Amino acid sequence: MTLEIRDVYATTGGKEILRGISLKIKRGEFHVIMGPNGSGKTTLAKAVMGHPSTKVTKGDILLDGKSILDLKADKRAKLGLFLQFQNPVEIEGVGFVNFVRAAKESLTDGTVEIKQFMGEIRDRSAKLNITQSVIGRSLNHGFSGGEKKKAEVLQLSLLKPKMAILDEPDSGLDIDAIRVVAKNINEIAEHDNMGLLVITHYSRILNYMKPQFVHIMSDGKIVAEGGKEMIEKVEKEGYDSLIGKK
Amino acid sequence: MENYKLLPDEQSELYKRFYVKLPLEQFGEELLGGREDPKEAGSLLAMSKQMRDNLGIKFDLLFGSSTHVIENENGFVKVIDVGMLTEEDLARKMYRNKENRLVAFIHAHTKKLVLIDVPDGKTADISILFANSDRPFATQIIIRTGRESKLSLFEWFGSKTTRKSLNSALHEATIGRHSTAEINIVHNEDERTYVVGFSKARILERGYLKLNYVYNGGIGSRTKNEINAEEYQAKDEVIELVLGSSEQQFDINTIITNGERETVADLESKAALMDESMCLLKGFASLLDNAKGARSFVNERGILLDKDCHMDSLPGMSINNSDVKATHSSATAPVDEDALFYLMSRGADETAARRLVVAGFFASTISRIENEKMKEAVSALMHDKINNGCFGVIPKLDMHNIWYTPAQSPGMFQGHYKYRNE
Repeated sequence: MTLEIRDVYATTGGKEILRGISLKIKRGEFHVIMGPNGSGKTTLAKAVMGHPSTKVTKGDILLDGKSILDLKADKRAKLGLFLQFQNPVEIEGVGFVNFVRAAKESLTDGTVEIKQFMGEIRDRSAKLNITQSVIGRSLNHGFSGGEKKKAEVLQLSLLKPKMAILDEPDSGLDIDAIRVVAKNINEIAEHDNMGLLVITHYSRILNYMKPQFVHIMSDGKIVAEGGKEMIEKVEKEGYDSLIGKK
Repeated sequence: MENYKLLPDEQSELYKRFYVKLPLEQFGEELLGGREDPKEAGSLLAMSKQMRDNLGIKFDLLFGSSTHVIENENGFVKVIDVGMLTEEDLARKMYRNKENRLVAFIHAHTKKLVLIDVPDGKTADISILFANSDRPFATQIIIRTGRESKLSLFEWFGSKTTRKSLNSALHEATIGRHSTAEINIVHNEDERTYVVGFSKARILERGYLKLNYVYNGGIGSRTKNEINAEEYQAKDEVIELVLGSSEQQFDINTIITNGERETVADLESKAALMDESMCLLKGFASLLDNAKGARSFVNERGILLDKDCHMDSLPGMSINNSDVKATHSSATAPVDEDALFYLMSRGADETAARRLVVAGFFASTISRIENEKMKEAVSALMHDKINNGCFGVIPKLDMHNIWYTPAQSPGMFQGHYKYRNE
């Protein structure tokens, strides 16, 4: 599977946020987008997943050469896309386990055997240091910031998408939790040969990961690209020195 | 009428302005002159079988517009002709014609009524199917629980009509000292049926009444419920769940009264509306002079799933004792676009995502219901309503579709309930 973002312009609330962004991610590749606040990273993630408030005004987003712009988020998910939210929505009253099971059934058009599924949940929760009481609660309801991020990674491991966009998987996590989350993402992506796009401000989580491609975003565009060395550059020199140096 | 003293809520200018008018006049003559419908018993039995097959619910009594069928003689339920009421039965009646012309209408047209009597210390679990055909329906249900008795009552109001019809009922309940009663009432009439309902309940010393309503059916519904925690430490909890679709209209007026010391009254109303449906929630708490140390809560919430649906929630209070704890709150909002997007991004189609949001919205309230039949019926109705917008048909329970879990806290209304568990 290949995700191609082709010269995309997009608006949110009538304001142009993305201004001609292009990116190609193949299954099994690991890309990172870094950039200062307000550069359009989250808008890009929403545009790829089809958030109704983000309108693509020019360009195209393609999966395996076919445009997905006309598809709603559920159809994009069925094609193998996954978005880990920066701020996952709390939905009181909807049980986490029941929801993920229903999501899995919807994605696979099959029935999930609950006993085996619970085993999978228990195994991965243990690896993520998620307590069972969190699993028994409503979807993201009353979760701490760290629990929300871990629960998103847990969903990633259970739903097994082909291409995942992780929007700030490290924000709100303490240093130990960052290490745990990074380790789990690495394992899941490798095991399922996932294409991965990680969006982040800071390089900290990337110390535990091995991205192949790093893109620096500013003002709705990619302004610099390179390999893992770009992360060190950002760490040393900040974003200002990279902006305008594609 | 000149001697009738208006209740506090009836003096409310707002309540006078917001109401649903039902065209009941056309049914009066038919009710008075109505003949027995020979097909009705068969229709009741068919509906009962479908309820058993689809929802696993067995009824003790099937009650129609002109006939009734006793499925299980349990000794607690009697059906009697109006003319056969004893002095004692009449003494239990709380409604008087002069109070309300709709009450007078039901009184005038009731031919048979249902008496439920749970003697002191006894436990009863009763299920009744009420259904009208083309022939309009009017009845009265009189309930009495004796000292230290327990009652779990499940009532399903349905209909199967080919033209406009009416389903109207009066409930009059006396909850005895130290007794517990949970009364569950589901309205699932079809799209040609108008619904009129009145309920009055008195809760005596340390009695406890849970009253759970689900309003899912009927093209137009108008109900008024007066629940009175009348004696020392009496307690009531009233739940009202409204599921509206197409052009359904609901006018639900409930008054909870704390009449004595240390009584507790709690009204929680929630509506989820689709299409062009409309709902008025008029919850009113009345704390009387003697209600020292009483607690009272009115909470009304709505979720609007389409742009053309409409809701007005009008919570009110009248407090006549300074040593009470009382709160009221109200919130209505469209369905959260971000929540839908989140659910859809995980593969749920739009309908499933909406159903999940609604299930979550009702979950904390449903978890307070004890009667399992009621919980499952609500889930099945909700599933059908959100999926197909339909009502008046008997849904099929699929445990796979029950996605809700009890909420851990009252969420944004945590402050509202800070006194609930004291």
